[in-house]
Amino acid sequence: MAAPIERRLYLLRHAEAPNVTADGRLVSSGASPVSERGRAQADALGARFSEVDFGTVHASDMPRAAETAKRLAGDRGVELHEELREISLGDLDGALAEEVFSTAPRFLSDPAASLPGGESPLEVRDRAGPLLERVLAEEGGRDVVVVAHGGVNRVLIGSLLGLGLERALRLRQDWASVNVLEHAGGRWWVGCLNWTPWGLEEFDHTRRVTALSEEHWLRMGR
Amino acid sequence: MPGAPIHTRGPRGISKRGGIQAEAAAGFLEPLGAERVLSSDARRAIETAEIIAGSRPVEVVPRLAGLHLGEWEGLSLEQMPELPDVLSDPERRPPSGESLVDVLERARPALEDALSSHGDAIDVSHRMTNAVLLAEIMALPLTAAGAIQQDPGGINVIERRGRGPTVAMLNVSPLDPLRLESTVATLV
Repeated sequence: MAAPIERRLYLLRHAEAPNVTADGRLVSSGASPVSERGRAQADALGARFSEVDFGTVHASDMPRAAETAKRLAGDRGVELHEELREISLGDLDGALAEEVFSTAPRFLSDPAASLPGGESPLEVRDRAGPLLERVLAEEGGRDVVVVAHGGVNRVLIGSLLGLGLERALRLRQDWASVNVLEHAGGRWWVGCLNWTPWGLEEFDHTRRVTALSEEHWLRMGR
Repeated sequence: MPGAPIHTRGPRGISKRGGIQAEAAAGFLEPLGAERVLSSDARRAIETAEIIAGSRPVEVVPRLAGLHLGEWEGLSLEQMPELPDVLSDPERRPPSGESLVDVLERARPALEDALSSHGDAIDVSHRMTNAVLLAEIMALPLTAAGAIQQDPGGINVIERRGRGPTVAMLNVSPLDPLRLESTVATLV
């Protein structure tokens, strides 16, 4: 039985902004800018989203998400929200990846575990979830575009799907990727996860570029 | 007017639109250079797999078949009012048909075989079979499988890494990735 889609929630990860320095330090706070390649990715998203009927792009106020949102929005508005910021690494922001995970081995496998001075996935859910609800309400019945981060997106998708957060943290979220959640008949359906405008063309590239951080998350965090 | 008959195992092949979707899937999957192409034994899956495979052989794997409706095969939705019960109770079978658990248990070995291939492999299967396997990988209850959309020609990417498979892409429709033309399948 097919039902029309009443509204779509497009949940995006920001464009390429390497978050691991050459010497292996994890950077989650403001600093990491969108790369030149990332700017091209955001422009490619903008071309695709020109067909979508939405009002304002809602984005994290961290520079990599805000810049992605501005390029995607074209002449439409952008509203920035601190509630959509990436999970905080706290005192360990800028530390070596090994140090991050040896300090709190359960970080990102136990939804309640956080780093010293940082946040747990549950805390991210409790700040980003209500913001998303508010944005959906404010936008009336229109489609909604949100640009956030890998960690935030995994948590939000997990909440909407009723997926255990420890499982949701395993979903792949590439740079400039699009998740489509759709509302019909009073509930949410999973339309699509982790699509990018270049499909599988740059899939391995993305994996190589993020390999350091992703593999650390995988090896140390699970 | 009664609805169209539902065949999960019927003999029907793909439509002209289906052929276009299969061509688009082939283009999307081309960068993988997958060595193996596996297909359910249903005609519409084999036809899709042959378009994707090009010069590669298609391995026909009956374990990838769609949910077997048994005695309900060929009925319309109105004629099988108990179908929602089958989709909301993982153990419930249509008469002489399969439950969601049955589908998972017989399809899982085929997925494991594909994932243990030396290179990448492409499986061509069916909506509920895929949804049940994806739900299992994401540790969702099988009754949530119905929430996972699987469009005709839609592509899922499952990666084997670390501690078991993960879902890297789900239901990407190369012809309509932002789902502006799509509908939601609320039952089968």
